[in-house]
Amino acid sequence: MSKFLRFILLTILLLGLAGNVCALVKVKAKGEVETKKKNPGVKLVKEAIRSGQEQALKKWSVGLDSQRLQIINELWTEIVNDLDTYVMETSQLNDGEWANGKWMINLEVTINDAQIEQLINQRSQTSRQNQVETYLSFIYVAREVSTIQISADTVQSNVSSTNSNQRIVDNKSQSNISTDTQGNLNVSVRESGRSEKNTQVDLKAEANVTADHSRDSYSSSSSSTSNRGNTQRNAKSSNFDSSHSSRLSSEGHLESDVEQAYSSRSDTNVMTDGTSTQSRSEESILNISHSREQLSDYRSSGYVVKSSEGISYRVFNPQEIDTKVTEIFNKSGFDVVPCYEVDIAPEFLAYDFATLNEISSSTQKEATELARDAGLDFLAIGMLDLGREEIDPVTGYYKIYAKVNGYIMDLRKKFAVKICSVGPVQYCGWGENPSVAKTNALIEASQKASVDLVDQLRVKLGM
Amino acid sequence: MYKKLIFIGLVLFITVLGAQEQVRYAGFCFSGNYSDIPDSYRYTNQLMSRENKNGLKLLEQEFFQYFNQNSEFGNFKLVFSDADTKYAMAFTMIRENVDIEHLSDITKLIYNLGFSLYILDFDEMRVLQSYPIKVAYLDIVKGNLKTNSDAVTDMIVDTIHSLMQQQVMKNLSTRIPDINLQQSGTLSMKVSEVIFSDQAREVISSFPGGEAAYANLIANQATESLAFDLNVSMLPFSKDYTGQKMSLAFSDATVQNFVIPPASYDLKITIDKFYKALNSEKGNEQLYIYGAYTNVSLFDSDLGDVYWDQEVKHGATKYAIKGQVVDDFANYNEVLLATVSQTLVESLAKDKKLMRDKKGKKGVIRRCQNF
Repeated sequence: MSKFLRFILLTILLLGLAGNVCALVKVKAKGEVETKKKNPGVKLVKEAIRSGQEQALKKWSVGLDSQRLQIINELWTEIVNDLDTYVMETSQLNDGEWANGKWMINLEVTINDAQIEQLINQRSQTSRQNQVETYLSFIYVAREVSTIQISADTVQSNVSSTNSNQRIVDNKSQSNISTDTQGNLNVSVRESGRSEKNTQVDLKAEANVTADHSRDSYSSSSSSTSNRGNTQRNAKSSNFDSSHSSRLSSEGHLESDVEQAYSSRSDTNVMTDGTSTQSRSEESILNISHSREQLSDYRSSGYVVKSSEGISYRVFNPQEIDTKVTEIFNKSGFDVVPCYEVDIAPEFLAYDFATLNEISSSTQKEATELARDAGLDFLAIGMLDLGREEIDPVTGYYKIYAKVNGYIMDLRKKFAVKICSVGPVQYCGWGENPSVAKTNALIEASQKASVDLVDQLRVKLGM
Repeated sequence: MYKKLIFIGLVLFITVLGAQEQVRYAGFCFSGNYSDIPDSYRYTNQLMSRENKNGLKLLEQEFFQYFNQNSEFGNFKLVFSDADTKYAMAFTMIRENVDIEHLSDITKLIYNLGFSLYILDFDEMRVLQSYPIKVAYLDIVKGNLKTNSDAVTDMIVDTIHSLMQQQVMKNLSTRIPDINLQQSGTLSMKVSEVIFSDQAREVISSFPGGEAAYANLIANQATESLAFDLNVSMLPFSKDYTGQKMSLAFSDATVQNFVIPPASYDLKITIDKFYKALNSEKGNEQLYIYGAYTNVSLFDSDLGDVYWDQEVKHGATKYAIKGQVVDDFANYNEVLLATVSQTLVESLAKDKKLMRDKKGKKGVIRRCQNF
């Protein structure tokens, strides 16, 4: 009677546990057994199912990374000897068939990979118990973009004409328009971004610039504009943010500086002795006419200088990941020592990472020496680089990419040796707001990197 | 002492065995890309923004009340509180198609709406089962309606609303007892592919949305019939979803990505040809036969085994008056939908090998059935 009671209570317990089982992976596999019988008995069917379960485990382990695969291979006998623990459920996909001396059956096997993870951790702990305590500390530093400086592209133009008046125009981003009393006309057009531009040209030439200049047009719309005289100057700018400046002197020299933004609307006001001419354009062609010069058929050519964006970072201490990373190292049988215990200031490492893109040799040396003096066996360093937030077009959620680099230094020998490393690998974090996305990206990246580092360390230490 | 223990044990045993599985109601949602909702579900999205007198979303409230009154499903109970369950059920709109045709002094409005009841596993963020429901409705309005006018939009939104109330909810009521939560050990099936021959492709070219949308319609029709009529545990057709992921945008603006896991068995439907022939003529009346020829294959994409591969065809007769312009596509569509629902289900159910249930020998369909 008491047995019956125990059975009932055990059944209840198992049913209760069944609901809480997670981390199940379904894998299809073929189980086979060599036999001459077309209708095999129960024993042979069981054998075939067992072979199918082993096949499914092998198929599942193929998808794992090389370090984990190596650990699984080492634990293979243990797993196979206790298949019922690691295989949750086996469903037959067919009734089985006999062909070429083999009876085969298709199976869908549910693998409990949480149990396998448990086995790996258990093995590490047992292995560690047989050895002396191993102390490990980790420092994970992170940086994120604080400001981005984007420079406009610069067009380096060569303006040439068919007659002797030829000038190479060297354009820079800043330019002014002014006309000096000697008749030199300095034209400066400044446009920035994609906003409307407003350009004023003041002509105050006395002797050389006459009232006719009031009809001089500075137009961006037509290919050429002439003004009473026979001077025609065309300076073409390209279809991107550009910089171009013009300077016209009474000697017939033209220097032009024009900055133009792609698809921008431009307003140009030309003021000549109180008279103003205004032109509006949406095209990226600038024509400058002047009657004083006997110049014709100006051509321009050039190239674009694209400046890469200047990014500055701010560092921060990713506290969110501390617990998660500690958990991973702890579960693997390492004694995690907080870095403040060994007097390592993560701020120095973070500063180096933000300014130099890596941790400088001197900072690294200082950290390893402090760790070694404090009696640590291993020091793990991780660098997390957070990208800019963006909105995912599919879900509407914020997403942030985190790039992670990491390594573990073995401090037990004469020299600190880098025994395992990971990355750079990118992970994406999602969230309803940038803060959640950032935390998720940090957790995802640090977790994956830590698991990879731990796996490598296990293999190195033969755990 | 023993008697007391036995009594307690039995009470606990009965409680555990008799406890009905609970599934949380996740609400009404749209399937697909978040950013596409205003375009993909133009009218229903407007309907979703309507509020009742209490300032609550009208449609959401109607579905909430409906499921509150119909919470007893096949083998589970729908709960509305924060129950300790990883399963959730979402009523999802998967298709909204309203075509407007102007014919002399009348306007034809053709409604094709697709819904699906998804049973989801929120712990592992995956879709467990799909129960699609489709609604087709033809409305004829006098006069030439201006397609983009607010009045016409409101009229369409109202029609969709009444279709949901009168057809969707009504149809669902009769089918709720057939909706079961997949049991442990039950396998799943999925329409994995819908292929069209060149001749079939030509016929369906007039379908709004093109071949992909029509393949979706056919796959959902087959899924619906297998899920409701054969009680097979079906996964949603996922051809359109990249990486076998499905985004569900809920009415509270949250979007969840669910994985569509690989199915135990896959179903491939090949539309071979459509057939039309004049059967008889009597005076002005003509009798046409319309037919659809398909090939359905039940296979295992991982192991490469084919369990069932047969031609499934269906025909129907249609009367026409001599000289009358006949909408051939509508007739072809009707027979094809009947082929992948009625005829397919009948053919599968008749197959003894698929349906057998002897000790140690179960057919493929039987392995996927929820009872």
